[in-house]
Amino acid sequence: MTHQNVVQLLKQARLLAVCLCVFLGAGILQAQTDPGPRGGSAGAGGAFPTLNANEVAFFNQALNTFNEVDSVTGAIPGEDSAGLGPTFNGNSCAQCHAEPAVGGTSPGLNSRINARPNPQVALATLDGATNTVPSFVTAGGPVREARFTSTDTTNIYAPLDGGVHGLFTIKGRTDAPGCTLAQPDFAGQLAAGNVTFRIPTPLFGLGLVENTPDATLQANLAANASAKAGLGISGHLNTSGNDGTVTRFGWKAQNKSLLVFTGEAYNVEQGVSNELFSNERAAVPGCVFNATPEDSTPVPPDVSDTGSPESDSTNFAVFMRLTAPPTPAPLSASAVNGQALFNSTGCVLCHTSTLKTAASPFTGMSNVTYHPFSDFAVHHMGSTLTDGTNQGGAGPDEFRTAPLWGVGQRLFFLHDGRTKNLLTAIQAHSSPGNICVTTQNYLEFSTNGGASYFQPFTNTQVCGSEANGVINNFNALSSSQKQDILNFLRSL
Amino acid sequence: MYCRIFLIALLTSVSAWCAAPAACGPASEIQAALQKAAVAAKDPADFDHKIAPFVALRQRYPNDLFVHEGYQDAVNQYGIEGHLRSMTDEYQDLSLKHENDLMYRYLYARSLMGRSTRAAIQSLSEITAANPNFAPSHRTLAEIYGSETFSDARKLKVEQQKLLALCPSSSLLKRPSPLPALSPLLERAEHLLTMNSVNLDAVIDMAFQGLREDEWRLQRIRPFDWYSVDFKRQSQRELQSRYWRLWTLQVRCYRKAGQPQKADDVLASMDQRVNSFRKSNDAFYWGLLTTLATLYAEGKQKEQATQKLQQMEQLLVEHPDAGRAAMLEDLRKHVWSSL
Repeated sequence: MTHQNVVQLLKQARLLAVCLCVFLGAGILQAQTDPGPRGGSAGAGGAFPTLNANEVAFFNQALNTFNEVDSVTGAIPGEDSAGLGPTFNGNSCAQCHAEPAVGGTSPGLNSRINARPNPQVALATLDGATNTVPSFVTAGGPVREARFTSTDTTNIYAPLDGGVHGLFTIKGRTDAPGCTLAQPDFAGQLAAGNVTFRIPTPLFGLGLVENTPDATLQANLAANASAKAGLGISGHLNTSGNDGTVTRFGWKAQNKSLLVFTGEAYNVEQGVSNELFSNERAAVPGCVFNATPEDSTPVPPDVSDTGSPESDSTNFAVFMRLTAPPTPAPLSASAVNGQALFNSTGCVLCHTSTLKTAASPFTGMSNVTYHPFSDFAVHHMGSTLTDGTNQGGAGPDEFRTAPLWGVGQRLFFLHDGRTKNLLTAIQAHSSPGNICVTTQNYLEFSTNGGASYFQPFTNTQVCGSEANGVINNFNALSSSQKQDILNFLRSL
Repeated sequence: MYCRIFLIALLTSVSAWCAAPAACGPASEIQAALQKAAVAAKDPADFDHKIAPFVALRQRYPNDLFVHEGYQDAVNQYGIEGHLRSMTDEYQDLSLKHENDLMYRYLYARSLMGRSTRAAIQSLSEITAANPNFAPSHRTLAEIYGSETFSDARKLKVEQQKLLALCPSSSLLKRPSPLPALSPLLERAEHLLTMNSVNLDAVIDMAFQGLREDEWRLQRIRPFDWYSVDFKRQSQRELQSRYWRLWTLQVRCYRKAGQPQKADDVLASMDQRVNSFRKSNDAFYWGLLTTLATLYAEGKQKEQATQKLQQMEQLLVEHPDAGRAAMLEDLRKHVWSSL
């Protein structure tokens, strides 16, 4: 090859490179991208704006309790509340419900307001604890809890588990002398494909949700029936097995009230037995350091701790009940367009934009029109999202429509926090229609004198996701239209 | 026919109780075994091993009251809340299974001693009323009445007299048994830190172990109603100040080891922890601020040291105190000379 030829070849290569750059650049310019979590001030975290002075004082006191840190016996300065463990995922409500303000969801390094690593990493060895950080908990990842799907992965007839298995134990902590409780074998369970995750749900504005009548939710779910049917959307409200009323809190809308929600979380996440969930989990005698329930209404009233005569659980519920909902950012022209597209593609059919509360005993909280962007119903989401866990009337692939208020400042998405990218989260709403999720209910039989065994009772099979039709609509949009929707969502 | 058999059985049973020895003390064989178990329990570090000799004895002599008492005392001496609760549950079960057996009724009542002592007094009093010749109940009641919290000189005298009438050579144990001393390990670690050529990681480990022992000591106090709420609070506060010393030692160890980042992490955590005492005006909070100002000064961290001094000044403005003002002045001089 002559020198002239080489120069010619280089010129051609350069031209090709320029063309490629222009082509790819245009592609990049046109491709939609998640603008990422919104910066600026946290649009949440304060008291509901119309509360009177006494109610605001009550809220502030509840917020203090929400911020308190637990240790095993309460003797460690700065960790003054007793009851941590024997197993736990966090040592304070505010540790995990942190972003963009106290009461929110998982903190993270990608925050533009308060970038922080996952606090669970440091928690593993706090105060001398000897825990290993499981592989799915990382400094840059979300705060997580872990559930095991089956009680025995080697036996297909084994009962389902579905329960939370605490990431850490108090073993080795200075305030847990003698406790030898080991962590679950997360590596083994992961290898067996038996672990699913959940991240904390944000708590802002939940007083409004709690006070929304069942009839309102039922009417909302029944509305736009033909549009929903056309897109394959059905869904149902999860209900309490005892009184039949609508349950609405948690990833599967499994909890009835804020008080129940808080009592369960206090026990499961921090290991604090309380007046709603009064027994210790993993109550190995050598790791039980406190009388139970560890949190209860003091009799006679005692205000020396938090300045409040109520139990911690009650304070947590009060905090959630009286928080203001997230404040959205002003809509840009693109976001205005995105809002219209959000409606026309069908997103809004489940992510209901507007609901109304009933009368409330709290100042200005009666008959409030609010914008949760959720119908609080559970929907089949298919194989992409299924976690194999039943909760109340919610099956293995059913999830509550995640409320989108505040999504503009959220760092991690979907129940397991698998992505930081809103676009990826939208796409994950779709599941292949040829992959079906089977819900199997069991009825236990037992023979006289024989061993108990489990017998399949009913099978139901759902293929694909109820959101498939809507995601098809979304995918049919132009890149700039998709971008408008992303911009709209990041303004919430 | 059946009635006659039942009557004979009943009479035999009643006469057996009347004729039964007053259960004054363990047989010599049992006494020796209990002493051996007590010695064996001193060495192992964990509860299960400590208690194992008593569990073995109970299996060997399941119907011996004194073996059960020895087991209960060992659980009380070495157990934490979970163990204590298990023991009470176990004796409640046994008393229900052996409904008419005085020994198990007594042992269940005794298992409440020190935790629900008023309930124990009530049950034991009922037992003594129905079985005046059953010496163990008199003994246990006397021990309770001899304690500081449940002190009752008159009732102590009554129970003691009844016990001595039944068992002339009986002696009473002091309840509660003496508390262990605070661990010397923290002080030892602090001393080691002042020396050259010392393994600083080992010093920190030693201090942590000391705190574990102190927490274990607190477990000898918290679950028991032998101690007043005030004493429990005071003990907890005492432990809190020892945690503060542990972290102070950690900061100094890391600095000495040339690991200033680790020292700063601990200091940052201490600073954060102080916040929970912010509303307090007591000596403890004042002491925490003093410690932080000193540690920042030692690390030549002028800004943080000044901030702590300002917090102390603010506290003085809100709560004037001549003594503290003088202390602050001294501290200020000390801090500025260090910087």
